[in-house]
Amino acid sequence: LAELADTRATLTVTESTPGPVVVRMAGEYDIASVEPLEAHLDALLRQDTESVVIDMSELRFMDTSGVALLIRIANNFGSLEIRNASALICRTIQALGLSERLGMQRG
Amino acid sequence: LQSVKTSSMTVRTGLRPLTVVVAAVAVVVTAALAWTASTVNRDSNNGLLQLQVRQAAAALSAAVPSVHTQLADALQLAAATKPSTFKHFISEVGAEKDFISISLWQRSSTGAHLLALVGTTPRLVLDGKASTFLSHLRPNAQLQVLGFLTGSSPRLGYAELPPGDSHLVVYAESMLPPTRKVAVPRSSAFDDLNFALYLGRTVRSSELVEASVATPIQGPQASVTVPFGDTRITLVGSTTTQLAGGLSAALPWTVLAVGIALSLATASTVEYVARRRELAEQLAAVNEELYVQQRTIAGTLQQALLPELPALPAVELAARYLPGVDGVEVGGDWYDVICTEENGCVFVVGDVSGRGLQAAKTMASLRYATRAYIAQGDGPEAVLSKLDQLLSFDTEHQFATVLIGVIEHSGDRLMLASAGHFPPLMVSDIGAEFLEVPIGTPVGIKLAGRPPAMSIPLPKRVTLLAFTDGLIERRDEHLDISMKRLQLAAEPNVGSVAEMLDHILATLIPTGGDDDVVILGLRWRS
Repeated sequence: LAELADTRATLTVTESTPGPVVVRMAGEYDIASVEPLEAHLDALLRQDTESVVIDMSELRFMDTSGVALLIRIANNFGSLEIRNASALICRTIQALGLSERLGMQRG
Repeated sequence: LQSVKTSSMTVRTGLRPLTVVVAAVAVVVTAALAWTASTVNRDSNNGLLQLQVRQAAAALSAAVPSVHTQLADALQLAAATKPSTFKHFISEVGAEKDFISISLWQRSSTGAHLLALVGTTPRLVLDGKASTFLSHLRPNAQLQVLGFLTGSSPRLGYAELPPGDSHLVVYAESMLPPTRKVAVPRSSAFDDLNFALYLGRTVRSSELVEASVATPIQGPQASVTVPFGDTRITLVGSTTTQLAGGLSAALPWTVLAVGIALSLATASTVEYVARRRELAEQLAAVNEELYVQQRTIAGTLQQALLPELPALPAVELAARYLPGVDGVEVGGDWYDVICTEENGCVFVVGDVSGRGLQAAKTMASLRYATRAYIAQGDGPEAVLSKLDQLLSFDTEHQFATVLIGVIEHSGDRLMLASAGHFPPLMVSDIGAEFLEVPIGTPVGIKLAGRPPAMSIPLPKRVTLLAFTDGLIERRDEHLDISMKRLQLAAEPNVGSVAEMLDHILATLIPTGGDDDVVILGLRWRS
């Protein structure tokens, strides 16, 4: 992941069998930083799994571009769970009426 | 736009004045340095030449006393003994020696007659001038140089008289090279010195004794005059080689060549930089122009896509749209107000995710579809469900947040439905509060069903404010804080609706926002 060290947003996929695919979102997700993640996202969307867990413990900021990315993940898999999202990000998702759709838990 | 770019992006040909100035200065500096180097080289060459000539003169003047001593000694001996012994003391005579002829004479009032002779017969005798000439000499205890004697081979004549009233005189002649040309021996300390010797203090061809080169000597030269008997000899020297060394001689040319090369390099660099800068300035100007054009286009398009608010007797309306400050693209924010017989007065505020033409296109289709559904008599919940059929996030990667409010004809009930949109702020005489609307998913996101529209009683004379996120959102700020800021800015419920909107915008985004902003205000007249 050294090549992503200087970007503001990172998306790391960890597979573990058995169990859900864990996606670690870190940094700041906005219109400028989300676009370079397209390749990583495509790789994630090709995963043959039913359930995905998104760990947001290191995600500092997210705007509608980041939310759009989450929706793409949610629409692709049967079950989605968001963990460790900050209050700020929870509120953003909640304001869009997407808490339920994106399987969000406070934590 | 392309024509703007191509027509004005020209770099004029010809040198820039700065380049010319830089080149001129560099050349002048180069010339000055080369001249200095040349002067230093010439001065040191001159100094060294003078030194060599002086050394040569010193060697020459060291030889003069020996001539004098030789003749004086012979004279003293002759006077002390008898004239016939004179010959025994003279040995240094011959073609290769200092003298070719030395003779002893007895002077009297009538003339002079020869007492003894070593070597060839003096030219003076052959010319018939000896008697007269020698009898008129004045004793001065010095070697007397009589001057040139012409003939088949040139000679120089000398006379030596003892001090006091003596009748004896020694007369000597030395032979000069036929063409006055001598060669300096190769191994001599002065082998790189060209010289010419002149009798007397001045350089005259008639007084030339001998020279190693053609006379008069050309080019840089130095001269020294040394005593020679009762006259003087002038030594003129020049050199064939660079006495200060080849490096010193090459230095001015090296400085000149390197300097000119550097001048050209500097001038071309200056020219290159100047041209690049001109291009950059032009590019910046064109970009500025394009930016303004684009902003204007975006603003114009956005205004065209947004409705003119209807003039209603029962409702006071005002709306503001502000493009983002750095936004040259159209946005996806919109508002609308539709009043119908069946539904009463419907207001809509929406925001399509993303930016640019795609967002604006989606916005326009959603706005007109909403108008159509409302005109058909659909309630807010039904309108949102139908909009869900028009936009699919999976294919278009867009979603839209939409708030629909319906004020019934009586003006005392309000129905609200939100698809992921901020609830409206209600400003009354007792304060401002956000209405608690159940928030469904944004339009475009598939989900089983939508929450039912909320219906609440509407107090008299309240102002409803609906808006898009650009009005309140700040990066890294919790939305509750952002909303609280609007709540405070919206109070109190006084003045016209338009005045309230302007006050809120001036308070929240005094210098414009990063994102597009829509704010719509409604107040039921009672």
